[in-house]
Amino acid sequence: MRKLIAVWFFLVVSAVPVLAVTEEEITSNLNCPDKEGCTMIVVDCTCPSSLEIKDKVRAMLDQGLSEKQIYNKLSAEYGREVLATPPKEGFDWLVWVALPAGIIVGGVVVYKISRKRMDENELFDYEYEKFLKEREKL
Amino acid sequence: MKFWNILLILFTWELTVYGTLLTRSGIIASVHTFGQSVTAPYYINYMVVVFAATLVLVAWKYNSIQSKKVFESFVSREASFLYNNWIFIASAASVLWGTTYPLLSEAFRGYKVMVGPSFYNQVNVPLGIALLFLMGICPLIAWRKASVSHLNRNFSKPLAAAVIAMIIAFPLGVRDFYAQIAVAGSVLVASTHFVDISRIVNKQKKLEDKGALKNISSAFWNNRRTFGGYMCHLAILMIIVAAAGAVVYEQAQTFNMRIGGTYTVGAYDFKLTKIDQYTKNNKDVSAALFDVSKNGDSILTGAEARMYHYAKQESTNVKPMAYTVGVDDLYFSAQAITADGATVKIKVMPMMFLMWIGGFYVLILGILVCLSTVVPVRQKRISGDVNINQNIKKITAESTI
Repeated sequence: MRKLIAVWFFLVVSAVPVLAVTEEEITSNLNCPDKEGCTMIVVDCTCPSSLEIKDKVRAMLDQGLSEKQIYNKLSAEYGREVLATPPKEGFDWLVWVALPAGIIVGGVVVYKISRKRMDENELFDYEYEKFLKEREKL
Repeated sequence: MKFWNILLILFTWELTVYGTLLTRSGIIASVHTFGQSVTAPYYINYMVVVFAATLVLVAWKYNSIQSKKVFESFVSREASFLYNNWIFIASAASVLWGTTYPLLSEAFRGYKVMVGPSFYNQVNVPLGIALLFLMGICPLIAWRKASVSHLNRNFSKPLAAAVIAMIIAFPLGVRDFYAQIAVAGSVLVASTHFVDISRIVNKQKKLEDKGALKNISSAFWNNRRTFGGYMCHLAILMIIVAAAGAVVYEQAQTFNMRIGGTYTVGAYDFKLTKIDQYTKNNKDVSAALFDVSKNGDSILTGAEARMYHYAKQESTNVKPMAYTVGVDDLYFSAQAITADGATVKIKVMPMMFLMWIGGFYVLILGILVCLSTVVPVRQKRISGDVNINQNIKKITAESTI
């Protein structure tokens, strides 16, 4: 079993370098900046401004810019509203941290309540068995 | 469980109305927003009334709905139901949080930060994977309390099968981390269900051996709730395999096309044959028509990519079109259509038939099989009541005599 897991781990790790970011992945994280109130994500949008962004992203990928550099350039040009996914920095950390924290804290609360009820239940069973044994003696 | 279920139902309904409030009232920019919306107060009042009325009812009936049973261990089948509920709640909370965050951002910083698909994918894919593994563990974990030796005995073979499946999937192109985990989870689910089903059939065989087919059908009939549940699991498994297959094997390309030109995506050739423009139901329709062939054989004619233009609203909408061809789905999404050509994104999505079969037929069939057990229980109760009534009548008659 351990050998199998080791083989799988080796294969997955060796595959990691071939995964490069694509134009579609980047444009999936961008809002259409159209002033008319378009609410689409760039990858699926046909507004002129979205088509313009797609061209720019393609050009920047060809230049070899990283994903983060592309987002920085676009948010400097179109404003932070162009980002469809809040960056993991400053106040926006909240969006990423609050949910897992809530899930963990809620889980701990449920665990504590369940543990307490389980302990009470075990105590009850113990007392009940003791009572039955004493009654048998009588 | 009753109290817990009522709370879940209440919050599900409230959040559904809240979602409608957010999109329809224009609080969040959406394509579904009404032009001039005055609906927000109605939704809010309705939510408050439903919430208050439910709480009053719950308080009134609390004694009859409160849970009296306590599970004995965190490694048990009962606990796995709790984990399952927890994952669904976390998933719902992620949607609530993602849709509410722009409002928070606007309140504290003066501008809306939109939360797009990437956030939901990053949060919900791991939750979905956890749910998949839980679905694999559930059938074989013991009620009340599972011991280490029990876990070893029941799960060593399915886990080994899952790891082997991941290794086999690797040279077949499944290299994405989550897709690999999805393969492992799917095989784990399939193998634990297979082990449990064979255990039930063997039990039936020991009771009364009527031959393989009859043993299976008797086992199925006598355990309809279990088998119905397993069919629902199978349906979800099919959906997950289809989604993972789409992630790994999806092929998509955008073409600037001219009439008469042929464009290739994967094994399919798409020939743009015609541009059609007509008016229908207050909208101007532009349609690019395709003939589709695979390995030289024609498989679809007149497939369309459409755009709608609403002159009154001065807006143009894309109408994505989907066609199921054998085991693949073909999606057409037009980005621009002119008199002599079109810019169209074409997607070839393999294995999507599993999504439709699993998501519709198998799931509904599983639910029906589960529900079918309700009928004999009712009949039994009715016959029991009749017997009691007959006995009362008999005793009354005897005492009168």
